[in-house]
Amino acid sequence: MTEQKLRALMQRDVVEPSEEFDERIALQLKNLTRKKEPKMKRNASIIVAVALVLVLGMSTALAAFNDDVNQLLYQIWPQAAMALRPVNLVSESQGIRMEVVSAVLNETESLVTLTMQDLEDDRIDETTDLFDSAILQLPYDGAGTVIQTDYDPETKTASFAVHMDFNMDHPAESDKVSFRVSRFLSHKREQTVDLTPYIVGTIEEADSMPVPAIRGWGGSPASKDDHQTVTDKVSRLRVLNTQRSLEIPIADGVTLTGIGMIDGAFHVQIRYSDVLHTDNHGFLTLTSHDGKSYMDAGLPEIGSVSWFGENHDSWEEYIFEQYPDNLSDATLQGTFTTASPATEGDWYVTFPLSLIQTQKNQ
Amino acid sequence: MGTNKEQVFVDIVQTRSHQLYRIAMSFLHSSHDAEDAVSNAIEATWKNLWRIGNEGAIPAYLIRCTINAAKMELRHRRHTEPIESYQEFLIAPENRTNVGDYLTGLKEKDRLLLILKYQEDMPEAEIAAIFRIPRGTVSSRLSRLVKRLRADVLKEE
Repeated sequence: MTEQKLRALMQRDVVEPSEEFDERIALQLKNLTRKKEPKMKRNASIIVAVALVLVLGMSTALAAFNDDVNQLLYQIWPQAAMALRPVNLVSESQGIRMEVVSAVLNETESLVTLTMQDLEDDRIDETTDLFDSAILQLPYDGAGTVIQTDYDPETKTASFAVHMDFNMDHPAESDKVSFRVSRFLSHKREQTVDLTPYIVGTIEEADSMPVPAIRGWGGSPASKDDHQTVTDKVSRLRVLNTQRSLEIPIADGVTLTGIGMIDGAFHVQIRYSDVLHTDNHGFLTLTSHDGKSYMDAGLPEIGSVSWFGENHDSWEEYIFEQYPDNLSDATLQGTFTTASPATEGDWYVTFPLSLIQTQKNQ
Repeated sequence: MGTNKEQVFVDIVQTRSHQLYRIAMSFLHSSHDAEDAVSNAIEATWKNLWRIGNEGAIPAYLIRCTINAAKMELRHRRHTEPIESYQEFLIAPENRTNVGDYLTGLKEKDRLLLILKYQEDMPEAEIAAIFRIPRGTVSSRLSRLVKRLRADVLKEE
């Protein structure tokens, strides 16, 4: 094969972005160039990286999935998918049955296919989210992706593929390996709520208070030094006074608690109930009467701040430093993702590492 | 628009945004996540524009930021994705190549080298700037990779 042929093959299957992507980049450039370029910054530091390791392999395990799913796994992770090996081990907890169908640990990646079936109730559905709890337990740092590959409403069974990349900096010392799932979310629902009617009468300066103990903030600090700058800025922020909460339910587990101006910025405050067990969350979009969106352009460094309240409630303050000149003509929409409280259990299976490890790793 | 460097940055983003997207996609396999990674990279590069020595170094900086943003996005993935998010990756069997399969089995730095050189058609000098390695090292690594590719994949054709 010539280099020309290699080039042609590699360029043939690339996926190009949508027109919406072009529009998003154009809007971002427009907003960035409206702002002053930062002048004083110190050295940036590199972000920590942690990765994990593993690999798996076989082929008959994929028989549990339909052809489309098989094809997809082969295309996304071909080396691992082709090397999958059957495991077929079952674990039951809380009336829910987990079966690890197949797995492989290949070089620095792992792939596990599994099913979860509710034997007693309707806790497994087509929105089931393993919520960062599915893991092949190896002594390495790693990062992964979980895909729900299928759902059968007749048997209340959802199928998943769990792929992980590991930083395998030393040989595994154990002969065995476990795959574990400790909780999942289900009945997830995304809904968009029109909050425009609540803008009326909020142009006045609102009653505010210092930010309570901060849980986190949204935004995109560019470096460690930016991070410190943002931390300092957050510590000086004032948010809408929770003692004067509006208490307006706007979705399951989502309450509008405040809206108004503070120090020249437009603030909207939302309370999400029991986020540790529901992962309820959302984002807001402020749009001017001529269609300009302020979702991403509001405040790049601090899009929002959040803090914990009682019962694991999360208070979130969305701050728009930029907003339409005529706020009373703007529209405000909230898009919220809610779910049933997490189902917790201990589903795990243990098997010999050699069962799933490809030859290169042994 | 402010300085000339700012204008150069805008021009580069406008002409290279699809390239950045494809590079992010090679890590993330998700349009939504790739778009976020590119957007974060643009933001980060803009904020550090003042420290980039000359305008010619902006593309390499932007691509490095995109690679880092994609890796960061991978580490932050917590939720189960519906399979529909990946449907655009379905390639008709008759169009599939074992070159694609081979790429995913390579170490990340080797895979990126091949993608930048042959998928993105980048000059070796630019690839060297992205990886911060001598151009000669890029040439020798590419030569070795293509040799392996010929041996491992092409012979199967």
